[in-house]
Amino acid sequence: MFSKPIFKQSLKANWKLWLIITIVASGILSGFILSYDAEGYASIAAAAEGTAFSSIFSSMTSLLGSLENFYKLIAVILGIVYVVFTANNLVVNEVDSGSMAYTLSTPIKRSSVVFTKSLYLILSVILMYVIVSLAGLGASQLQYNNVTGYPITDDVTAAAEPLNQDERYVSERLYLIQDDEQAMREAAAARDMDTDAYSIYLEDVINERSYEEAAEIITDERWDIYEDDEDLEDEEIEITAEELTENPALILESNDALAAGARVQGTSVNEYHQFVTDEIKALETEGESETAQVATQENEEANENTQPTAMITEDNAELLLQMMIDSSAVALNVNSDQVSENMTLIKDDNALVASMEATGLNEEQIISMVNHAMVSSARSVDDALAFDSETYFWLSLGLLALILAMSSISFFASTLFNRTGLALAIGGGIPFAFFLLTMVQQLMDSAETLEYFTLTSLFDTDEILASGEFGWGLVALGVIAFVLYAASNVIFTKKDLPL
Amino acid sequence: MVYIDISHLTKDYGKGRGVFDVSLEIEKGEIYGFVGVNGAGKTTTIRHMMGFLNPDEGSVTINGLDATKSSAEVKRYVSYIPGEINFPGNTTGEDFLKDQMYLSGRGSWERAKELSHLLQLDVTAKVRSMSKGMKQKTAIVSAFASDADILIMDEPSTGLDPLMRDIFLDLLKQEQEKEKTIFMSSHIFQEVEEVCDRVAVIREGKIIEVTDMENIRYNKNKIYRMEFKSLEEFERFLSLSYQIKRVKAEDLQVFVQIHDENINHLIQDLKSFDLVYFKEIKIPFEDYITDAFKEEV
Repeated sequence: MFSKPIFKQSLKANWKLWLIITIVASGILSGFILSYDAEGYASIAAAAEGTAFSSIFSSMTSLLGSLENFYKLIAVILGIVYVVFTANNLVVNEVDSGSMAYTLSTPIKRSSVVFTKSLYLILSVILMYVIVSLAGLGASQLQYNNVTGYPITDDVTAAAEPLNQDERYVSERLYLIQDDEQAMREAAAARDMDTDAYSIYLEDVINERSYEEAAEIITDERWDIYEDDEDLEDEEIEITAEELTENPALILESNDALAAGARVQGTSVNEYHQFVTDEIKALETEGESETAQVATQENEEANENTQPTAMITEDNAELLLQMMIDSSAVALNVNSDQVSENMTLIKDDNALVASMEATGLNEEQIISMVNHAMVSSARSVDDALAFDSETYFWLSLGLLALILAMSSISFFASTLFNRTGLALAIGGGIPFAFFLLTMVQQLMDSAETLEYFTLTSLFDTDEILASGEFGWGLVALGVIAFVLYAASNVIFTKKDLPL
Repeated sequence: MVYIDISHLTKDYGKGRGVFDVSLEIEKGEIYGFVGVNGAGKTTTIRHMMGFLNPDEGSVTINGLDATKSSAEVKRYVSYIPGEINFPGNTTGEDFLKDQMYLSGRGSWERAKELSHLLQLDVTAKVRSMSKGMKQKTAIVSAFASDADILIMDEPSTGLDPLMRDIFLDLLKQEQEKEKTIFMSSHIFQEVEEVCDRVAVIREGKIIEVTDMENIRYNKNKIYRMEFKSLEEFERFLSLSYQIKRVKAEDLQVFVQIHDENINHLIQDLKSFDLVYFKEIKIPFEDYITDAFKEEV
């Protein structure tokens, strides 16, 4: 079936376009990744929250989400250009010009000619997108170190110098920063925080990572135990960091998990055991105090007139924060944008006084709120820079499936028709129409019915980014590609050729 | 031995186009000409022989193999020159010739060099920038260097200048000496007359004549042209019972068709006439075919 000479001939005639498109696509993807502005998008998204634009910016709040336009539009149009021209060149162009007569006047079967040519197209598309995906992976790793390890954020870079250690070494051992006063100061400054807020942030990050590592170990152990248990779904076997946060007791059951958690915290296993036990106790008392709080709240409501203190609730927190920012700006005689960018300014004495007056909160409450706000914005930047390998894999695979399906349309047209013009019109026109529909759909949110008319809907980037249901779409793309390639092979083997 | 057997081949493209019930038998070792005007169905027949087209009815068998079903197998014996020549890729003539040998797994580069020298072909030129004549020469070199048993050629001499055409026809004769079977189409009657052993004439998709060229070259019916000194002599000759093909009264000329058996009778008669000259007129194959066309119509 496979003919080496035909494969070599196809390669010789088509490698240039392949190389150009591969380089361009890899370059654009790397460019998208390198120029991703995590802090910028995180603050825009926070500002746009609750407005009509929130849906647009929400996808930009993670590195992979910001690549949606690449996967939906740029990579697709580049792929279409490649497959349309190559499919055309491989078959119909040779038939139309008559040069196929030479190929077919040798003892190579028509079926092997078309099989080898379809294989060439499929393999070249696969190789192209593997290279593009690896380029993206490489760019992300080089820029953020977030593929094989934890992202290297500004604070890690700043702390590495006083610690006299490699950035990557520090990013895996954040407790080193905690232990060094100068490193703490410089790291905090790099993240626009004071050391108080930064130490809260750092502790937060370290604890979460220790849970993540422990969760991974526990999941592995559970896999070994329950792998053959058909009653349990994969998700039930998997233990996430969130589950551990709610129920840290699970860590105590596994020595390996304890060791992994301890390593992140830079403590001994015994100390970590103590830490987890404390956490469990804290969770218990929190549960109790919540009920207690409700009681006091009721009490206070009753005595509203005697003790007129402002309360912080989830609903008014944002409003209170904005009031602090505004009043601090007035007190310090600066722009309120400057304050919201660098909230340590609120901790200035004058600003504190102004904020207390404006909100009716006491100093302690204000400082805790400001710290909390700074920590959560820093954490959202960290989240934005996280690289979810699984999501990236599915995005890459989905794109590949889509382009393979597109290539099968072009190849089918190339084998069905004898005239280049007609084959280009159909085999290029259909994929390009799909692309245009996708573009219109991306630009206009209301054009949702369009999704039923384009193949690109089967590659649902939104669902992949949200870890939702996307598998069947990809399977459908694979089926389309398989059917059309098979049909192309049958048609070309049987049809009349004007040679 | 019938080497290529075309049997009741029919391909109907509608509106009277196509080929209809074409049957030809080509013997091993012969040069077979296939003549007809443009659009008569020559190329369609050849495409069936190459297995590029599927017949509506009938079949083509080459060396006992069905040309459609065993198309690839048949190509072990066959080399082909298409009617419209375009080479794959944009390589040099040399690369094309070598690639083609590699793809078909036969042929000799030494022979190709010899042939290019003979045809004055520059094989270092890029195939895309080649003129019609150069492409044709490259195709001829490729076909002849392949050392295939059967050569199927669709108008192989188009684009060649008269000198090159003579060299090409010589090459055909050389190939025949090597017991190659050659099937070539042409719309130039003169060249098939020169080299072919047999010629089939196709018109509007139907074979109207298969002629053994021996019969034309050694035709026993000959035409003689003569001019008489005086009008009396001229008229006296016309009164004799000869088959007169044509009369040019103003020049006192007469064209007589006569079979070799009766030639002595004519010469005896002519002794009593006063002639200016007497000569045999060759009948070109073209006229022969035109006669056949007329009969058909």
